Amino acid sequence: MSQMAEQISEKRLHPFTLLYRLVVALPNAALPIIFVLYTGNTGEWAYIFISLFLGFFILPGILLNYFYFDYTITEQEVVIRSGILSKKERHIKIDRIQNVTITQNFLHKLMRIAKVQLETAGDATTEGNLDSVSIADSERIREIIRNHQHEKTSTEVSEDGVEKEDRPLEIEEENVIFSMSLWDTIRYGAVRFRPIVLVASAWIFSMVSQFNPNWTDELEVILESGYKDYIKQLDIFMLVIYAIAGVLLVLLLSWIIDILLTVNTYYKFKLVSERGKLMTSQGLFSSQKGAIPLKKLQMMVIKSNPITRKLNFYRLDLQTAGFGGGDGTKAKSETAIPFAKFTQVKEIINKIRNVELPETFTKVSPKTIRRAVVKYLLFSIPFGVGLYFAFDSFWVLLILIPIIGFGAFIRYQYRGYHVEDNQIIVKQGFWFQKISIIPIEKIQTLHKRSSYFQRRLGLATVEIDTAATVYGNDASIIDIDIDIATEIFDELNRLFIEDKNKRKVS
Amino acid sequence: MMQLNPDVKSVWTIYYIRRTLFFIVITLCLDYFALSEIPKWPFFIGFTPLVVFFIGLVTTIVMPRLKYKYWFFELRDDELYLKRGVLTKIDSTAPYCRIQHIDISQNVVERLFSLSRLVIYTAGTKGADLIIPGLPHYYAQELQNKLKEYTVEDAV
Repeated sequence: MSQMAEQISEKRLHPFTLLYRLVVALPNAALPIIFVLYTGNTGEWAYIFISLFLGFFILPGILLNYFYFDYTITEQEVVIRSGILSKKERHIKIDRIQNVTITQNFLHKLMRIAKVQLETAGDATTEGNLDSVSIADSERIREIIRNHQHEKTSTEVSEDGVEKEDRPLEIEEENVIFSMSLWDTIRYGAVRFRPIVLVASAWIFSMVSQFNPNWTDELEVILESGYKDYIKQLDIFMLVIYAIAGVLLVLLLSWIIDILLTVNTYYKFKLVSERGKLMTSQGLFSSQKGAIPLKKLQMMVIKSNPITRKLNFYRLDLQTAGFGGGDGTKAKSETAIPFAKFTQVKEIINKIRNVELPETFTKVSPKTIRRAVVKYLLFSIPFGVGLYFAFDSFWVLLILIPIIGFGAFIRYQYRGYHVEDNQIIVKQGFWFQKISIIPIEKIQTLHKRSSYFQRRLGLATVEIDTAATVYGNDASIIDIDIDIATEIFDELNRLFIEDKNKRKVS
Repeated sequence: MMQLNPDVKSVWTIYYIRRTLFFIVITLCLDYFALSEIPKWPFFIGFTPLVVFFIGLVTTIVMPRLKYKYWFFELRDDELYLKRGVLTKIDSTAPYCRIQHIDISQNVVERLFSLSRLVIYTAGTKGADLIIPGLPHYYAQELQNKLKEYTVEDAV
């Protein structure tokens, strides 16, 4: 490593950056023209002028920005100089850099360039972006920063208790915790069934199915002959067949699209452990590299849906507070394992943070079944009304009762929690079940909530808030006895404060 | 356990009046334009706003008092503790070391009664900002200073 030049001085970005930025900026300039073309309103010369105006400014802007931008990497710091009229020099201390992320989107890939992001613990204003440098340069920048950091902070990093020994650099590179084969990726895509893809493919299907060249003729015939006659001549049986075939086609389409999208996103997925960090790399057309600093890890969530559960496959998401820290707005959830057997997920969780998933969880109060039944009953009123009118019989509603009862029972069965000295584990969900593991020291605020109806049954909910509660990923212990809730609330609080004091002393 | 300044009841009363008026206007529109069009609508126009008015009247009289009665906060050794709620009771705790920063804010209604509101931000994302309403301004400042002392720069 010593042979390598350990510094870069006043280097410009890769020349292809010019091309890249031009391509990216093009749609902006073209938008008004497209608008003019689309409306056919050529009288609106103003739009074209705006386009030309933009073009006139964009091109020199890109050129000047390119020539007035350079970066320097020394042993102590990274200096990024930019600006034409107002000069800006950003100094980023090497040991403040938390992570060097290299990303490539599709255009980057075509031009064989990459974007380098230097992430620090501060907010966005202290970060550095090099968009774009050649692939070789990006690797080199990362290497240099890492080497400088390694010389300095080898002791500092190991202190957080995550990474016990300082491994030599060469081994780190191969410390793959988890990787996915192409077959795994396809299988993963086949069981995802994301609602959003379903909606999208239904939309595509409806667009395509309307693409009938004789469409207007047909409509004319219908209108001329009177639509009542048209409806009469339709064959109900065939219509039903068409409808079913359509639904099946949409399902098939969404299934295939989901598989393709999944392969694109998770192709060659790899999870690598580095000093105090987990790195993910994935992607077919646009490769993505993510980093999960373990110090910022707020919550681990094991997720499953009914199909993956049946096949014994689970997903592990790691939620971090984001590099922004502080305001919590940049909290994000990063997928560490898209698709793996439960035992493997458990193993990896254990590697990431010394957690043993308990065999049994403490159950919530069985009274939750009662509340679920009431809730489901209310939800099923519209459905029940539909059933009543469809079958014209009151008795048919009775079939709802076992379904609701069973659903409520399943939900109760799955709910649970487990409080340990270092973490709290919460199990919840019905279709989409999840197990959340929250380190005690990451708790931000605690809430004990009990609504009027809960209090009537002597129940309460404990909410645990961390800096990474991405929407829909909150962890709550719902419907436990009020006394137990108070106990847990106090216990967590005590554990947290003890932990804090321990840290302060050491 | 400390209580809020009793004047906060007046602030809340104004909020409730405002809310009731808002709903009356909404239901008035609804009644006039939509419900009256329904054939065999059993009530006269203005019935729903009237219902809203009476519900609003009762809540405006009752709720501020109850809310005040059940609102407590406490500065404990290591944490800020809040306890409030009439129908849904909520206990919250924010350890001091988790507090990021503290704002004092005041809206027009609060200014009428020279009250302030203490907004305590943590890095948490759900119900992140704890709010203590109805504090005299000087007292809010006192609390802010006191809490500031505990607030430690701490990485998430």
